[in-house]
Amino acid sequence: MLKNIIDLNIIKSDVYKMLKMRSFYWIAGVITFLNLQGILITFVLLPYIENYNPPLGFKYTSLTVIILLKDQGIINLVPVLLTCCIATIDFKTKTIRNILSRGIKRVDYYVSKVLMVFSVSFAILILRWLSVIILGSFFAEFGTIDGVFFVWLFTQIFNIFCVSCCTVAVSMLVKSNVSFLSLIWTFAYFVPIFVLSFLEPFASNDHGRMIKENVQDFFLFFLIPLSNTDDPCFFLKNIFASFVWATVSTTLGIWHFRKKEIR
Amino acid sequence: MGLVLKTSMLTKVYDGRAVVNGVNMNIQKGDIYGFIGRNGAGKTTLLRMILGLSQPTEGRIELFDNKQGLIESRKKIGSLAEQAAFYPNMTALSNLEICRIAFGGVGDKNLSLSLLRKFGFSNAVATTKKAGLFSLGLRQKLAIAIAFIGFPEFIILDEPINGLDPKATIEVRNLIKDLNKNAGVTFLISSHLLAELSKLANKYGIIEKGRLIDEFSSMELEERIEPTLMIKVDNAIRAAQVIKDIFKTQECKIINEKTVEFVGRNVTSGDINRVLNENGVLVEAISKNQIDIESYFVKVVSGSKK
Repeated sequence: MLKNIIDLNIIKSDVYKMLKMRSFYWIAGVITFLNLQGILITFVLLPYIENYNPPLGFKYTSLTVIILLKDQGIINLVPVLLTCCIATIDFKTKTIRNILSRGIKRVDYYVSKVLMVFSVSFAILILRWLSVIILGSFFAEFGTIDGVFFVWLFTQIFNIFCVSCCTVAVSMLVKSNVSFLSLIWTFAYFVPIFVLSFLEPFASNDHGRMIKENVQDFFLFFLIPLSNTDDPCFFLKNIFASFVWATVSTTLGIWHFRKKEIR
Repeated sequence: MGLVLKTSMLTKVYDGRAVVNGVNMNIQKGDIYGFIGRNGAGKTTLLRMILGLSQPTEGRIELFDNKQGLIESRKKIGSLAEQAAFYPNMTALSNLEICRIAFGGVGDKNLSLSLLRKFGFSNAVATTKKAGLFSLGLRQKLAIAIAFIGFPEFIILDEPINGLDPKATIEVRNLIKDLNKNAGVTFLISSHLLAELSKLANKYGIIEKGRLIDEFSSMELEERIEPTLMIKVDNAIRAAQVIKDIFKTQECKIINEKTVEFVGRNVTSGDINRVLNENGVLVEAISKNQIDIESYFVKVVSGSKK
């Protein structure tokens, strides 16, 4: 069934397009810089790894130190956003007409875009983790890995997938045709992410902190770092929030894209 | 031969106004169908519905005798609808390759390159110059090349000759004729350049205010348009009077003091020459006008206003 809704030709042509675009190499440079920044900060923290109190009875080793990477939420979001811009460039250049008029189903086209954005973002994530693990091996042993780490890994990968779904949905909503629905959903998705996550003074008092935590629980599902929480239900809340957002966004995105006129 | 396209009562309504209204169109395999209409008549809207870019409000579209369903059948269609669409920061070859891969990856880079050469692209222009820097003519040629990629069986072209120089116009015309004759490709071409269209099409459809008001073959057109004789004489007023009296017709027009235009069936140049000579009018030359689709189109459209 999965083969019936994925158009591999679209993914192949998108990859070819991406490698031919100069802007892709600029984006790769920006992402490499962001990754290096995160890796270097972690590199500074690594010699003092024994001073950290891991949450939930967790143990830090050179493998699991990737959890310490700073600002993972924002850094995970950047490749998704930038890859999505390349993936949906067909609307700006009107080449979407060439593709859809050749009998390519709109759902297949949509799903292929989500997979393409996720694949590129996931590849970048894996590269970052591998870099930290190799660096970490100079400071600590690999050690044993317990179940919490695998749950965290799954949560990160699942979040990347959900963020890809949401970002592609918002992009399709806005680019296929601006409507009241597309504006509302874009607002609901982006404003909490960017405004609340950077609005530190918002969390300076008890009241502000409570609002921020509640908003984070339900909106900023991918920005909560494990190292900041001792909540045993953290993973469940995180996965649930991600799943709800991805499902609603994708449903809206596909519905909107299917019925809209392509100009 | 089967039907490549059949529309039944195809209608599109925007804000309560029917832009396309109950169109029944039939295109046989191997046809070159000339689709004619004034600006705003509904041509592009109809083409967009056929290509799946717009949903019809009512009616039905069948492609290739509906053997495979609409979406599968569209895989066999190439098109240039509305304006040319391409990636401006990529070369012509990259643009064509992206489309070739997206449409199933038939062939390889050499196929794209050979197609571009058929449209007059040199290797240097095709592989190094960014498409955004192309002239209007080159952009149009690239868009047509994209329509031809992937060996489609049915090609829809909306104003393909706009912006092309005479040499490019001839190249495109020859390519269309070649594909139609040797590969059996069916064409639906919408154009305002009726003289050019009349060199290609074997069937026509005229759309006016969303309705297909006339559909005919080029042979039927010859029967519908009465032949016109242009007669050069020494005295046009005397010649016109003689023709009207002898042939009992009012369809004789004085063009200038030495030229008369006569529309008449079953009247040969020899008859005209003999009659005028017998009545003292000197005939210098008689020529028969080509079948004029432009004047027929104007006549049909003007008639539909009443």
